[in-house]
Amino acid sequence: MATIDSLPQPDLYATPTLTTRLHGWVASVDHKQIGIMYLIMSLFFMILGGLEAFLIRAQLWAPNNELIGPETFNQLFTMHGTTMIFFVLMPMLSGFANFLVPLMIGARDVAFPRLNALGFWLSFFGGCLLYFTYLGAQGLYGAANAPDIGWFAYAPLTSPAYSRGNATDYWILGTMLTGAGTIAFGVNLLATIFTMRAPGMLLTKMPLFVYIFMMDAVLIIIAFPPLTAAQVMLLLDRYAGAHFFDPQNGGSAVLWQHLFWFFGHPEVYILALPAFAITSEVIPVFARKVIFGYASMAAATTAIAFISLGVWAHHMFTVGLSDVVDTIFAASTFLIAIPTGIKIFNWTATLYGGRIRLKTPMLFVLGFLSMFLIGGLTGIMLAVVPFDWQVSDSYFLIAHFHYVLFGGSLFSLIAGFYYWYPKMTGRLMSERIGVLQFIFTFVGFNLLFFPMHISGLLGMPRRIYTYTEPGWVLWNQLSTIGAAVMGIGFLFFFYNLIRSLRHGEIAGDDPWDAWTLEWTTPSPPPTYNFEQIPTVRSRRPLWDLKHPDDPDWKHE
Amino acid sequence: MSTGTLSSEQHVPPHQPSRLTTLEAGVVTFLCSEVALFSTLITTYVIFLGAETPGADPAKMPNPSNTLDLGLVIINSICLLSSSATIYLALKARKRGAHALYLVWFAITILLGIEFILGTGYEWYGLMTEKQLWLSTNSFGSTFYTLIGFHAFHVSIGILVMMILWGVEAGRCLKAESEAPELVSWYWHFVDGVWILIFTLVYIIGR
Repeated sequence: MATIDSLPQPDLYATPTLTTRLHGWVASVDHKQIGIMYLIMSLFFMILGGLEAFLIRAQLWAPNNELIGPETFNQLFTMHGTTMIFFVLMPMLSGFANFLVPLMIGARDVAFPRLNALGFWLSFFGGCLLYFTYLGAQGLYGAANAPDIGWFAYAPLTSPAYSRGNATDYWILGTMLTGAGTIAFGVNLLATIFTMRAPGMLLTKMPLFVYIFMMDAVLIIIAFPPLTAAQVMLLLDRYAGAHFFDPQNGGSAVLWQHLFWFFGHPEVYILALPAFAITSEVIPVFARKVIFGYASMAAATTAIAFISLGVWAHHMFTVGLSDVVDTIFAASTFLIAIPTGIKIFNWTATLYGGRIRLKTPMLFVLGFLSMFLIGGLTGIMLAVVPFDWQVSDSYFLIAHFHYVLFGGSLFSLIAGFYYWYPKMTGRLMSERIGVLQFIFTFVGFNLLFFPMHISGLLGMPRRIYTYTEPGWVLWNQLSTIGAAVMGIGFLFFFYNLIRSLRHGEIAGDDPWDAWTLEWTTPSPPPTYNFEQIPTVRSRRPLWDLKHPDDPDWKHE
Repeated sequence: MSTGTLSSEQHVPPHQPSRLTTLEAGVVTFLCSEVALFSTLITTYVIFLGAETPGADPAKMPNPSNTLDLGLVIINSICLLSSSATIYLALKARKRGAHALYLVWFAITILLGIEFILGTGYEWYGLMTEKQLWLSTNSFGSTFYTLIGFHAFHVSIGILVMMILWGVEAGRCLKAESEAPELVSWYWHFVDGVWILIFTLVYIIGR
């Protein structure tokens, strides 16, 4: 009789094979692994979107440049915008939320781990479907092999008459699929935050990161379904002969703009709120102070979320809706400046008198503060209807929203990478390369986008593939040089991410001396996160633990 | 670092993050996203009410008042709305442990839902053959079929889920404390509620 001993024994300590490890990731329902996969996905698409942007800048280097033809140029800016919004910033914020929210609220996983995995794979394959357009879109028509409709796909450009072939369909289906994944993410996040907080963590005692992501998920739940509905209508228009957006048959091209921007404007805040969330965690830790005005911060977040649902037509001032509509939407847009201003002041007040440590996460957050402020100020300018009529669809607008979404959102998200990388991998990213990256990115960013304000005011429209105006040359060349400088910054970033995996300094549980619950777990955290579910009594549970003589709950 | 020490202090507030269970919170959130979806479709329908096709004689084009009939729709609506009552009775029976009664009420709910779908199909057949109203006829056709179609799709999904659930329950494969039947009934009530709105707007006010 064979005994147990005589059977071949698996070597429990052998390194698992690559297939085993890959299977462990692909089949994972662990919120931390899914979070990291979201982040890797966003970095992957960032390379594609970045290369597209670089080609655009290369084409605009000189007047009458013939590097890229007009058709390709249209495809490039469409793919660049769609990629950056849907497949870089969205998965990046989903990644951080997935990894961090359960850890910060003291939960062992998200509410619906399998739904979470479904959401990720829908988003990922949505991106793949969009890029499959380069292989599959041409069809029998000899038509464009990538969508060339702009990222907001105005009617009637999307009608069968102007968009032959299947490129537009890949755009619709890719973004619709990733939208479904995002809704799943939102449902999951809200259910997690509402019902899985650790004992004692009231809604008012959550870290601001969690509070702000809660409002982010609320916006996702309200804003994404209308986009899905509009995209179904568009598909029906294209394939079943419906007349939603086709004015020749009683449809309305303006309706698409309304529906798209009813999604599109909240989307801007869906992308900006996570930046606020990260900033609200990084600034206190690196200024060694409690966040200034927690309650007003939370209230401002809520106000931003709800006001942002009522400002969409400021994207449509040049449509000619009516003076009354324009005035109402200009007014609601101005309103947004109030809660956003409150936030900026709160962050500044947190910095004031703090013992500031200028580590890389803090550098990027300070970059965020200043760049986002510029983007916000040009936003107020654009909300003034007559001014908008002058500069709408010019490079001034491009400058504005890149200051908001790149200088704003992305800078803060990069800070998030530097701040939580040690938690995710157990190793710190290199400070030296980080500072180099910051310098190159910050200088490159401003060199790239600040001249666009000027070329825009000089009258250069967006989305033109070339120009003849001699006055625009200098500003465009500055922009292109900036793009190259920033590209070097991102090479540092990717090098740092990969190098630090092996060679980074061992981080330990709490490298930044922070105060939220994720830093009580080992780095990287075990699958179950917490051996024992912690009990929370203040907004800084780890501070309480470190300072039993002077805990926060005595003061809150 | 052990996290257990975090709970060493006294006066900890009671642990009650939410009155909803996790599953309930998930379903409520999902239904909120459905509200956003149907709001968009209903708004679109209302925007296009009375829209004319350029170059066509409005009198000859199908519109709600010369196309839609109340007769069959009222029967369908009664079936769908009473199915909300029957699923409520089914869940009440389940709570009491009256398994057979529960299955009967649940089956009636499913049948009422199927009647609604078949009735809608018959209505559409009439609209397409007699009234010549297609998705492509005019913007009324486009918005009407899209709105009603989206709703009917939701009803169908509900029927499918309820049929699966019925089979599982008939085989007694579901724990008594399972929240699934209750949550499916929330979805079903939601779909019925949307129908009240659609019926009022499309067949009464908009006609």
